[in-house]
Amino acid sequence: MSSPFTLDPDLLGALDDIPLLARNVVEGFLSGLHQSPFLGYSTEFASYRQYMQGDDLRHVDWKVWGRTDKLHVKQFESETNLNCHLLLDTSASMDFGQANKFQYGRALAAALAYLMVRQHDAPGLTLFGAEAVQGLPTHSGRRHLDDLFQLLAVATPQGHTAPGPDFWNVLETFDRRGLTVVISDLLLPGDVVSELFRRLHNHRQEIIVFHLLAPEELDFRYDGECIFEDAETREEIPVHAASFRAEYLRRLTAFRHGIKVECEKYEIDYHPLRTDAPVTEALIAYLQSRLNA
Amino acid sequence: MFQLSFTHAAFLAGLASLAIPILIHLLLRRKKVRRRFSTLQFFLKKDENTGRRRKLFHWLLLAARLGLLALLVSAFARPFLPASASASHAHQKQQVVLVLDRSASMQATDAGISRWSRAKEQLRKTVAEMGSEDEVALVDCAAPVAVLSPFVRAEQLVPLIESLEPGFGEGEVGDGLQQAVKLLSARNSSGQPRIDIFSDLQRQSCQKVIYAPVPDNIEVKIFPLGATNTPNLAVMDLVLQVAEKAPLQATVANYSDQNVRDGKLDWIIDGESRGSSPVGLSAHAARSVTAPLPSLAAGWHRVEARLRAQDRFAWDDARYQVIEVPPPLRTLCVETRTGQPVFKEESFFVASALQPGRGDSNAPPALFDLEKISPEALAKKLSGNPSPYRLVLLPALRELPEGSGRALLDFVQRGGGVLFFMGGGLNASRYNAEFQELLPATVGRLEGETLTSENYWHLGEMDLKSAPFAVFNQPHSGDLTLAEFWRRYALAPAASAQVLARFDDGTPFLVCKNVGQGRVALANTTADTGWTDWPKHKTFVPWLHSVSHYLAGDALSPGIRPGESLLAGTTAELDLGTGFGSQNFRVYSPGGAESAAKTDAHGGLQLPLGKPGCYAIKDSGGRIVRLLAVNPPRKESDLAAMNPQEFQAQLVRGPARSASGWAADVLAPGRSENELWRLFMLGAAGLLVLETMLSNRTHA
Repeated sequence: MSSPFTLDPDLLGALDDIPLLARNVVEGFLSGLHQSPFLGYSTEFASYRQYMQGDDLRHVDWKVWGRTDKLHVKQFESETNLNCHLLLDTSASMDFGQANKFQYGRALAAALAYLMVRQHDAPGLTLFGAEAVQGLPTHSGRRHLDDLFQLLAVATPQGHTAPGPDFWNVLETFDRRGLTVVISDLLLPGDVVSELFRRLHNHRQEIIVFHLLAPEELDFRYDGECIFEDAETREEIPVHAASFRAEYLRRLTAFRHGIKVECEKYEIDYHPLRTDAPVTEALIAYLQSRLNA
Repeated sequence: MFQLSFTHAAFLAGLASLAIPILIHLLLRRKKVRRRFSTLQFFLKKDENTGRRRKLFHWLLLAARLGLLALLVSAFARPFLPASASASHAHQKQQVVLVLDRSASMQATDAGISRWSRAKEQLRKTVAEMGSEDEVALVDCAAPVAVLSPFVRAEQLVPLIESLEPGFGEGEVGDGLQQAVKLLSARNSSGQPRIDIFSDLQRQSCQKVIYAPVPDNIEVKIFPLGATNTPNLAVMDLVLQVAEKAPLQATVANYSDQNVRDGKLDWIIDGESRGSSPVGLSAHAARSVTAPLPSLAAGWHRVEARLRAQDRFAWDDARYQVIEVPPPLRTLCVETRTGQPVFKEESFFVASALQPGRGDSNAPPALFDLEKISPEALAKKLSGNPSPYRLVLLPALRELPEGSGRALLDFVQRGGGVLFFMGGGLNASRYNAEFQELLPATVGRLEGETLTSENYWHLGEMDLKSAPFAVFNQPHSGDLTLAEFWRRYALAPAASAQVLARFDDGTPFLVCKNVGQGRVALANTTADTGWTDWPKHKTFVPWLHSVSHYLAGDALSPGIRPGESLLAGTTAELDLGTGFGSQNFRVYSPGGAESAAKTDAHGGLQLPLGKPGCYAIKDSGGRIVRLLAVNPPRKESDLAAMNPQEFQAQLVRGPARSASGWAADVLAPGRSENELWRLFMLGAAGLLVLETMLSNRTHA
């Protein structure tokens, strides 16, 4: 499908106003969905029921009363509120790429949160990566959204992607069935990725993984003698890039394939994203998952 | 430790080319870009190892290229291990050229021992230290440089060394060095080349050292034999200035840092002291000392200027010169006024001009031996054959004795000379008839009988290039036109005659003619002051001397003349004249040594000259044919010398060949087994292979 809305990925890094960014992304996205299959799921209306005493008269659908002479009230989505956990990777490896992975992930998280609140879902946010885990529990409402945006605004990528006990403890609080969106490059040590998926799955979470990779990582368009420095460990390795490209791409493909296999294992929606691609692809993926949630 | 040396060290300048691969390596080196990357988990340590290996390969490649270039350049410079470096490992055959300084200065003494003695002692020691396989040659570096012995075994050289005597010539250490290098270069074998120099290293003798490059593979050892600064007094020159009042002039030099105040220079002629001159000299200065020349009899004379000095070099304390005093010209002068006082004689003026002290017992030797005779005795005096006389002065004769014309003609045709004078009472027709074949002009009528003193004749046109007038060719040599003439004859010069002077109206004054082997001249005036006042003028005497020598067949007035002065230690090439061709002579050297010599067909004689002094060449009759003065070379007197370090510093190391010789030398088989250029070339080839391998591997 051709996307009706695109946002220059460079703009993601340039915009510091997270709320504005999220609103622009989502509103623009929704306005472009009029002819799309996702229309019904983009409104607050859910169904009608017969008026009962005590119902708010503002919710009476007067047009239906005029046609049928019976009072019906609209049943809104707030009644189908869903807990959505946004897990955003803030490790130093995310701070990479001309189209920066962290900026992209942060914009994506903000947009998703905005969209969730707009649909009366309850988004929560967990920043993981550095040893100190920051987060907001799931909650709905504009005030909560502001807090969420505030947290995203101050987040900076740094440190290792080595989730500690705090992170796992946070996952233990995901006691209600809900949706968990993981936004990360998944460059995690050992079998942390598998452990993460396993725990989320055990907590009856519907999981969406947005696997962010920068074009530099995907294409490895380097040449000549290079010294590559690990963004997290500061380790250095001299490499003749041109001659190593094929081997690198082979290993990257194997890595992504391993992630994908892991996701299939836990019935996870796996969405690899290039950070120079529009954010809307991620939103569509979310909405598809929202239907299934 | 091995100490590498190079035959052509200048080629090492090519090592500068090592900068080229280094620059290429640095300029073309790929700079490593430092890049931050999200993770290195897709990079293996193997990649790092590969990078390091590649880096190592690059450095190895650079090293191989540098080594390749360095070895090539070094190979062209012909590396070798000097004898001293390899001697510690094994004794190798040596080829040594002994350069011996046999110059005069080697006879100087230091601490009572002559340098020559030291040289011979050192030579013996050096030869004794040589191995049985060593080869040695001997070069004499005194000019002319000579190879005294080609390469022989050391023991074969001993007799020659023992027989060597010091020389008296100039030292040229540079030439000796060059000769030694030639010998070693021509010796195409595998010995260690060395040059040993036995010399006092006199600075004057070492000036050519810088023009004698010595290849680096030749070791040069110096055996200094004298002090570096030896004071010396020397007589540098002795000349005979004929025209001066004090014709003997010697130049004395002081080669020391001390002034000389009370020196004496003795003048010795024919072995007898003829006086001395004081000599005062500042340090490192020279001055001239003059002395008069006493009257000497005709013949050869030895003159010696000798310093009374007690210095360390005796041979230059004296300098020699030889002079030849020619025999007087025997002249007959016909006198017509016999029995009158001398001053009234017609020949008074000419006799006084030619032999001023005639009749005095203590008169100095004159250039002319004049004999006055009467006209009647003329024919008898000239009858001898050969005649002892060479010139006849004939004043105007009123009476012509019988046979006088015939006798004069025979005399002239055999090489004699006659000078006719005119005068009153002369019978022109008789003269013309009697001396028809002799007279250069026909005597005409008498002129000037009515002449007044206001219009006396003067000499006008003269041939100043002719011998009789050549003495007046120089400025301020006298004015011939001052003399006045008031009588003369009209003359009609013969066709074969030459008019050498005319009166101011064009009438001939002096007419000359060759007759047979002799000459005849007619002076158109009297021999006394009867017709002219010329005998009273100062120009008369030199003119009369000149024309007399001219007629007698001599050149210009010979006078006393210095002989040849030659250099000791050289070979003189003498020309005694064709008259002495193919004759045997005896040569008497200073000290009384006698030897035989024979001239070639043209009178040429080669005479080796040894010690300084006078050499006499006598014919089989014991008559001295030639006397030679032989003196030591001037530059041997300056005994200032170099020390061995200074000499080594003066040596020019490097190639002594042309560019074409270079290539031939580099490509030719090595002379010495110490040469390493083949090894270097082999190493370069190995590095080339390594470079190719590394280069291919690195690029892959």
